[in-house]
Amino acid sequence: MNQSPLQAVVLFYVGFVPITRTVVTTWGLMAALTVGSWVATRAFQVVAGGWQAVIETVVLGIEEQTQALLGRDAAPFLPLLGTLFIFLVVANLSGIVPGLKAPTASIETPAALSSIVFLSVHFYGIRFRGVARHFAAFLKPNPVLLPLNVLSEITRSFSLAVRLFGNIMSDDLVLAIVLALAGLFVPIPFMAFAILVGLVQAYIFSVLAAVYIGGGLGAIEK
Amino acid sequence: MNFSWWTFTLQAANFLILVWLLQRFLFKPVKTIVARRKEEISRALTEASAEKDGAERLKQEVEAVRSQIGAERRKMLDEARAQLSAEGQKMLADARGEAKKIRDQALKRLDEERAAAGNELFERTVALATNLAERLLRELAVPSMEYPFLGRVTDYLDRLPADERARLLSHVSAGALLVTTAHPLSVKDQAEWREQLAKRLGTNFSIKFSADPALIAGTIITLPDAILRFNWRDSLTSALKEFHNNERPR
Repeated sequence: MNQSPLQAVVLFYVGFVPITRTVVTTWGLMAALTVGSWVATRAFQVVAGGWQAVIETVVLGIEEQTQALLGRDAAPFLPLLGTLFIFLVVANLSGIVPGLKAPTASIETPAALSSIVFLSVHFYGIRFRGVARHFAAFLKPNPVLLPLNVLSEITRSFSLAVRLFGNIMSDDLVLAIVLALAGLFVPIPFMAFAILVGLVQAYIFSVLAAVYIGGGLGAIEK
Repeated sequence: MNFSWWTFTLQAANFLILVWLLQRFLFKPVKTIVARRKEEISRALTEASAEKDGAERLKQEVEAVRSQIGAERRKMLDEARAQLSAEGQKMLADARGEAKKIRDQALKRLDEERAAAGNELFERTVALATNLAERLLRELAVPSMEYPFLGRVTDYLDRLPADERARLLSHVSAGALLVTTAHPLSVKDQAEWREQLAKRLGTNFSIKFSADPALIAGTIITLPDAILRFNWRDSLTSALKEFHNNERPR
């Protein structure tokens, strides 16, 4: 194990495009989520059974939480924010599966997600408020603060990515070290802690994404 | 630590694809089934509301029918009571009428019986009185009692109006005259009777005498077209008739 854990491992190339282990793991998670969703939802009944009730509770819970944060109908934002939370939960927890590395433990994934959140803020802001009104918000409360507002937009997305990456990467690293040093049962508390951290980070990332999008919509004061 | 822009790009693309996939296979089915459930609940609520309304309507109809039945029952009971009362009154009136009729009939019968008894008593009393009078008169009736009756005959003929006497004499002259007395008259008495009668009626007719004890006392003078009765038998008969005509109990 001479390779740095922060180094992306390229598994193969498609043409000149390197396919890293993070991307392959993400594909696997995507496939699992898609197939799982398809299998779970194809037998949905009007009278919900056990798994259907759990899935509906999760989806409707995300929608209600989003609606509470945005103060408006959450339907247009549910695909993005709901997928973000579910993917982050699954990606963060995938690190405790032996042989797998959490995709969010690679800086590219949190960076990609925070970039998408950054773009979404402006996409939804322009869509719901218009270009002028959306960008006019950067001149408030005073046009002098425009550079600071722009810098804040960039840095908060950066911090969003770094927070997730740092927590998940360090958690995986600690877990790997403990697994390497200690016996069979010692890592269990650390694994439970990793689960907690993974869930909390997914929640924090999703909530902050919703808050940022809500700020872009003017629903939440910056 | 290297930052792989290819990985960054692929992860961004992966996430966007995952957004589409989960929207297609997770969020949309969940929203669809929830919407369907809400729709079915809404429909069930609507149907339940409609059924409730129907039930309420039925209940109201049943209440209306029940109240109508109650009103009809009360009306029928009132009518039956009124009919019973009327029939009772009619029966009572009929019974009273019948009782009055029976009472009247009984009173009438009683009156009739009383009248019949009174009549019978009267008849018996009259008969008794007549018998008594007859017995007394028979005890008083001696042969010499015939003479006073000659006086009554002559007195009658004397006071007879002229036209009546003439009409009486026109018939007497054509035949005989029969003098019937209760007791047989002696020759002397017959001569006296013949003399007195000849003075009033003339002499161109014959006079025969006979006796009939049934007369008690007195005489019957039989003319061709008239009979002169001056005897107690006829007096008793006349008295009896007067009793019957005037003294009959009412």
